[in-house]
Amino acid sequence: MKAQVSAEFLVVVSVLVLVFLIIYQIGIGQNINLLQTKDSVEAMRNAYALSAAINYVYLSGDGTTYNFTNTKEANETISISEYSVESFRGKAKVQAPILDANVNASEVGSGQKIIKNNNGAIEIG
Amino acid sequence: MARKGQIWSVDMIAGIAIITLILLIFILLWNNTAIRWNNSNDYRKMQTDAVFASESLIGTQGEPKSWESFGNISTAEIDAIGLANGRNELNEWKIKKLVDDNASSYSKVKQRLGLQRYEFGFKVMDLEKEGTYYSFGHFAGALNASVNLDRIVMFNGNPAILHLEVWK
Repeated sequence: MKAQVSAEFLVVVSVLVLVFLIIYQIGIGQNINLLQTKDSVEAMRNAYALSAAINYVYLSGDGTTYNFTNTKEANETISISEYSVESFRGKAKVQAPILDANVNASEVGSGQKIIKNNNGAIEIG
Repeated sequence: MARKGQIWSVDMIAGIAIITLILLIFILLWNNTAIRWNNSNDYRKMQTDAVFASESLIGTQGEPKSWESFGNISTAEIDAIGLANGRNELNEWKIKKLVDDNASSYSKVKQRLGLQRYEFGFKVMDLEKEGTYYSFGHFAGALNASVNLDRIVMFNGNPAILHLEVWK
């Protein structure tokens, strides 16, 4: 009788450990997803904020200036290619389109930037 | 004793099964919500990009301003595309140039308008939308989710509509 109870107890404990391991694995997976999503969302926010500012300055015409604050963090790189603002953060890569290919900067650091439309050329300083 | 043990085990297994079920339902709901959020976010981005593209078309002359005089629209010398003489006033020569080069320059024009991730088309139509003066690009079939914008413009001295369709 005693041995039977122990065997049953072991089975229950094994099942509990198995369930715990499964939940733990799912939890870790969700946590990694959450961190990647956070990187992706923040990269997207920063890329779209800069592209919207550049597009606004372009659409508003010659002489327009815009005081833009880039809130990117140290582990994020924001660069400008011919057609888009690209933000890299962790494994996340986000592209936000720009309307004018004539932008004088290839990489944009954090902090305050003045974006200016100088006769159709976009200057970021 | 054996019976007591058995009942306890069945209770435990039933409890674990219920917890697992609840967890499973929670994960499915979570994933479903994430997919819905992604879809609505993608659509919002498409709307924003469409508005910027339409603004570029009807609000700017392009860069350089006489880009229509270039032989090939795909040249790297053209930084931006715009169809306007002044705000909301379309220039027929610019539209003609785009329409004439539709086959060869569609991809490049998409990129210049910030629509590289989508397909798009636009039409210049009369106010009643019964007649089309010019048409450029590709238009969505009924099955595709699309963003449709109608912008009032002046075309050859008369009010007209620039209809823009952006789709995936």
